[in-house]
Amino acid sequence: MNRTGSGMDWGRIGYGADLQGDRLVLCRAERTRARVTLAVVGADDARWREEAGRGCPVAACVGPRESITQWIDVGFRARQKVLKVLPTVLDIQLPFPLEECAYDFLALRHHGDGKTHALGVAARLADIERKLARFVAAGVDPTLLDQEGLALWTHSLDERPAGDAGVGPSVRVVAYDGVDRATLAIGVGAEFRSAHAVRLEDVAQVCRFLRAAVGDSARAVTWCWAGPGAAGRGGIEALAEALGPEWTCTVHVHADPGTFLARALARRAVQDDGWRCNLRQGRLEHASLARQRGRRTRRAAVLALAAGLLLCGVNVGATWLMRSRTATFEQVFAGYARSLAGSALGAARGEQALLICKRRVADHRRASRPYREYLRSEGGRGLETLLDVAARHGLILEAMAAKSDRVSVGGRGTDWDSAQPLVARLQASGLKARIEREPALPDATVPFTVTGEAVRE
Amino acid sequence: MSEHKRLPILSLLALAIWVIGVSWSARTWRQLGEAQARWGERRAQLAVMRGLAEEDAAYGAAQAQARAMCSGTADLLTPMLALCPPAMRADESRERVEPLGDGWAWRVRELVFEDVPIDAAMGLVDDAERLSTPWRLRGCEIRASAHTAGNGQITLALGTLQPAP
Repeated sequence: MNRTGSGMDWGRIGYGADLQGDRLVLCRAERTRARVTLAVVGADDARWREEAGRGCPVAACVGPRESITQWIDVGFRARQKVLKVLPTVLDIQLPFPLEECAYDFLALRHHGDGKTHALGVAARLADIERKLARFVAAGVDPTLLDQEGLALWTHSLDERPAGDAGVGPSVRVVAYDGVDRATLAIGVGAEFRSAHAVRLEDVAQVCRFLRAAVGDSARAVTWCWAGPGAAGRGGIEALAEALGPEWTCTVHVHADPGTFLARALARRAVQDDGWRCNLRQGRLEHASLARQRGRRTRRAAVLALAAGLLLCGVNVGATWLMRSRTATFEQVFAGYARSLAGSALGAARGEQALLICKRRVADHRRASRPYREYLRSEGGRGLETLLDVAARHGLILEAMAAKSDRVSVGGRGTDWDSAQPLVARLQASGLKARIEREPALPDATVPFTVTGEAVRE
Repeated sequence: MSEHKRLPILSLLALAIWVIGVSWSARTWRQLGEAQARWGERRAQLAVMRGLAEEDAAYGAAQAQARAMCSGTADLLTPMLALCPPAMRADESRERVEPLGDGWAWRVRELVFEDVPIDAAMGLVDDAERLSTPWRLRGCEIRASAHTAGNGQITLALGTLQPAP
């Protein structure tokens, strides 16, 4: 049997249906963001049939007589592993084969000792079919089949939260006094422990269930009453009195107790409180849920398809852009290379082409050198400047020779450094200049030779 | 085909296309990284290539400009030298052609002055450089006169470009 966990969004509007004997009690729930509005509707109200026909879920429940709730511990923390192991553990604890059941696991919690704690909910398919048949006979085909004890427990907490003033001790028993059945949902604080079908007049049985659920140490209990039988408080008083010697009881009756279960089921149909379940699964699954799932799958598939196609389109575009940009680079590069190297380029590309172009430009540099010399020649001006510098610094020039790539000036200076300005001048002209001096002559002048050479290109 | 048969096929198809899209995107992302590295390399190469092209164009322009300046046939240096005062007449004059190997050549006129004012020789060079087809000083040797200050033995080599003979 398939397992459906909570976490599904069944809709924004839903109904809860409680069968009290032959009487159908219906409640409409509408969720607006986190707020749920509840309204009891008559079974002959046309609106609920119309909304149910449109796919709004109708939730009913199986009682503890037809289902079990069982806390299970498994020694793993990994969720996938836990979900694989839980059915096996549940199967061991059930008095009938799991294959004949619909089941669900709720409230998975990790303990400090590496174990995971989960609440297993199961019902035999045959019981579910019988329950569904009863509802169909009453004129409603439930979309969801919740568990009565859980619905009572969570809705009681919702209407009267644990720790509220007046609620008193932390052990709570939600008692549903129905037309044809009575149910107890027992828990401590906000945690559900167990649910039982009982005979409220059997005090010993009630005490046994209480002890089994909360142990012997707790003695104070808050009783939260609901169900059509809770309206007349006679039964409540009688039970409280009978439990009196052993348990200290605080009694609270939920408002409008006759519609409490219908309200609980309606609210859980539209709002996931982490404890809800649907035991109408597999071959018993309601057609509207299957359609809803189909729609979701189709929508997801269409979205995935659209996303996939969009990604493919983006990739085609990106690949085209990359190629186009690379081609543009290649084209511009090849254009430059062809204009520089011409036919010498051959099939060379990239670094090879760059090398060929560098060689070609170096050749051109060499070939154009005479022309560039012709254009930038300082010629006579250069020599005149040198003569001016020599005159300004009192140098006596004896010989001077100049070629296109070499200048040398020989003479005598008044001191060791007097010819230095000539060196500076040649360096300013872009020549590599050096000076050679000889020891001072008897007339105290220092012979020098300044040479400037062009730097090789 | 019924809906419950069509849906799994649609889902599988969608999943397949989505997987293709995602894996293709991963591949494109990787390729984009590689392409960016390649583009960076190409950009650097292109910058070098642009620099080379600019340098080459400058050489071409210099060559063209020099050739344009020297394309005139008139030889103005000879008449200019003829007009120089007697003190500046060259004692010796030689001419040589130095081919450049590309259909052009340096035409070099070597003038030797035995004992002339150095300033006057420099003035002559200035005049030659200002001609409509300028002559450039290709070489120069000055040896100061031991007798007259400011005078010296001067050898000037003036050159211009011309198409090779």
